[in-house]
Amino acid sequence: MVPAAHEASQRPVARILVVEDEVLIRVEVADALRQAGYEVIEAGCAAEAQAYVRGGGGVDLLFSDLRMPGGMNGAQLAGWIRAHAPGVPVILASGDAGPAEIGVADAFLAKPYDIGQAVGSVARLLAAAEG
Amino acid sequence: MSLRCVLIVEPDIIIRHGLAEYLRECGYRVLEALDAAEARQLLANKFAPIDVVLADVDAPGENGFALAAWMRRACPDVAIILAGSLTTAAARAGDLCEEGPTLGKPYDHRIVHDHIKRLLATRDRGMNAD
Repeated sequence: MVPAAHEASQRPVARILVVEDEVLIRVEVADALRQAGYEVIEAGCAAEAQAYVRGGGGVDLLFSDLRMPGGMNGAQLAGWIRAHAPGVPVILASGDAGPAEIGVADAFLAKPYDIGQAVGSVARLLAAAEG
Repeated sequence: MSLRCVLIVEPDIIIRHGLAEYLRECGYRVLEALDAAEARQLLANKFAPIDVVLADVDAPGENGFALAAWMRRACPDVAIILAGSLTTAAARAGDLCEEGPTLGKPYDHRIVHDHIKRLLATRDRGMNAD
């Protein structure tokens, strides 16, 4: 199988920043995205995601849980990422989200979500971002 | 043959991600945990057959020593590499793990890989001898 991110042979691998405080969910999502050919950066909270970006790490798509411990939730992190990396698509996931929070995202996944659906959303948003 | 699995327990995302990507390029399946609590979840839930755990003895909260002590009871077959800057803790580490704490931070990725290869080779020889 040709990984989705490698279909165009010279195209750089897209970097997906996965932010999720539940480690078993985070690993499952990260595994599926790596199998689809993406580079995945795993963060356990918004502060970790910010540390990665501040450290010069590149991001092509943010995939974040909405409810997380710490002072910043996924919707707030989305705003922060967009200020630092304009145009980066955002997927938010939650089992408990209001319309305003859902509206922040380019795509929203209701927990528990299907992993295949999650990978499909990533591919669709990256394709749209490339125009 | 399935990929050998390494679990990295490291609180710094930049250190953790860089080392994890290097080891993936070397052909390992790599799991990432921010702290000992996440590591215990991954080990206890049998998410993947983990061969080696690399843990930081200087981590805040429950450090690599505490995790290694728990692993000796809960999953004694999983190899442990402790890493950090506490050279005076070498004797204590010797009771808990096969390697360390001889790895300084920031990690030299090649040295970490050498430790893992040596540890797995030793384990494989031991299993073949049984």
